[in-house]
Amino acid sequence: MTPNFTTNDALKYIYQEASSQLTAQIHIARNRDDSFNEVLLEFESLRLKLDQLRLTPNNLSIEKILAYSRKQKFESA
Amino acid sequence: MKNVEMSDSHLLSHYAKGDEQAFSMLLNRHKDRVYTTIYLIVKDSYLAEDILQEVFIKAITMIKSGRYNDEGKFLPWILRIAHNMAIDQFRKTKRSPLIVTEDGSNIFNTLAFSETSVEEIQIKQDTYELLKVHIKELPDLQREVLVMRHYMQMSFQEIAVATDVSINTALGRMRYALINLRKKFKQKTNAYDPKLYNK
Repeated sequence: MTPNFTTNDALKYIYQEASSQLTAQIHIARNRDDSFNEVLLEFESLRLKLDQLRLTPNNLSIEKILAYSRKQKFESA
Repeated sequence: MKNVEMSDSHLLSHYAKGDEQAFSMLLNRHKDRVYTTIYLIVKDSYLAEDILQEVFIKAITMIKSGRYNDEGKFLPWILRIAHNMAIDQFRKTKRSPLIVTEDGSNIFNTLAFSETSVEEIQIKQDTYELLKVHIKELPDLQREVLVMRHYMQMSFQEIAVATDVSINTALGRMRYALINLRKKFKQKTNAYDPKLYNK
């Protein structure tokens, strides 16, 4: 059975931007096809890792920003 | 005043009355996401630190001069400033993406994790360090879409509009970014696969 969605549709699904109809179609497809399901799981895992990646700036940068803010006065309306 | 309880709008409202602590809370709440966005575009931690400061200085100036109208969208606003500044800088100093390790800049870049065991932290740190390196190796257009989707909270439609391409092009770039990242992770795993050295 030929799936009636594209690879871009699958990507929308992974990123939870698919319509409910498309989501349902892909759910069915992944339940029927183990290799397709495996690929989706890999991409979902990667998406999750990307979402969790957070880099932290140096404290010195933060202190400089706060110092600048303290020096600046609000302009009255 | 507790950070968790107050929305960005509330913190801004307090800030507008001269409460610098409110701004400090707002800054600490969003600094990692803003910094990550900048860093993944410019691929240089020192430059990213400078741009981060410029972004917030611009934001402070606009807020304190009354030119910022808060409509509950502080984060998208500051991320847009960060993205534009980072892209401008990147285009000025365009360099070929090289595989680099952080040479002495690990003291500036730390990966934020929640409380967990030392071993778990190390495993996570290795994974995310690798991810960071692989993202930097992506072609510019793929990396841009990835940053916009994951760190700037933009939908693919919004990304398409912002980058002046069709939604299918934006999706295609994201798809290739993921395919490339997946390939790089698999290559890294296979390099240490003992099954390859059985014979």
